[in-house]
Amino acid sequence: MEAAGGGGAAAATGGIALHDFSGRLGEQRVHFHAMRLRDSLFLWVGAAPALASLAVAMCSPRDSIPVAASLLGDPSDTASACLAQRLASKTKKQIFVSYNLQNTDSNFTLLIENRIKEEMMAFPEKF
Amino acid sequence: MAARERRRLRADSGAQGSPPRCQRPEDCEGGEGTARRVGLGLLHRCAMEASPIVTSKQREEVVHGVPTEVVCTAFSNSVLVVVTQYGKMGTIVYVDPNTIGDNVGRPSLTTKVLLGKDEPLVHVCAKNLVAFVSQEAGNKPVVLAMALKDKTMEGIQALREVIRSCQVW
Repeated sequence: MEAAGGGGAAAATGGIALHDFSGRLGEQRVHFHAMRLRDSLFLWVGAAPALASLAVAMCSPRDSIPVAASLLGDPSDTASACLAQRLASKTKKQIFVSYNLQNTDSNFTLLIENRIKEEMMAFPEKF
Repeated sequence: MAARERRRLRADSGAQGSPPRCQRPEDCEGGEGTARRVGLGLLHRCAMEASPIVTSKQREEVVHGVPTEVVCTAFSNSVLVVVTQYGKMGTIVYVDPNTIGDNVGRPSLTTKVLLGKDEPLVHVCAKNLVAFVSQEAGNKPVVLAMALKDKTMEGIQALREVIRSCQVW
């Protein structure tokens, strides 16, 4: 399958696995690009192929909410960091997120999150 | 959808009687609406097979005795290069070509550590590894994630060739 290509052999040996998927959320087609590393995950979300922001989040023993930091892009734009936090709390992994959509409405980001979780359920070995 | 895959799907659905239909036909672009049984439910394969919007190339190689993985991903405004000997992202460095050159026509590179240890060797390694990527990509910035066991000159040089073999820019 083209969509899951690139990571087949690597996944078997526990290396980096790449996985592309997409979904129509509202009126928009949103693309996802996931890269599974050892105990961590890089996830890019966007409608156009730009990398404009990057944030990291990981669980903390001191706090129930994962800690997050914005690494790239406008630090006042918390969409990447928020999504990273939510995925970190779900997966318990270190999560890198690059969220590149104009729409940062909470209802919309929830759709995004659900689409990601759906894919995680279907292809757990890719995350 | 590849023809082979489609045939396989047809064969599957034939065996089950009626062909499985996509649960979310509104998400389908292919039109067939054929679904595959994955885990708990049917997944709309047609939607998932929309070709990836970003291109990636990946390579695993033993470099100077150290198992190494390289993944390069091309974005419209930058290139993401992951070079890892630990399987992790490691130190993330933003390598940015300045618009004002050094008068020899080559733009000088600014390196900024986004995550991890900010020490001189990191900047040196980053520039050595991906200066050519930035240049060949038309002076695009490079986001480099590196987790290196071997930071020797020879090691870096060999890694550069592995990165070159994952050219997506």
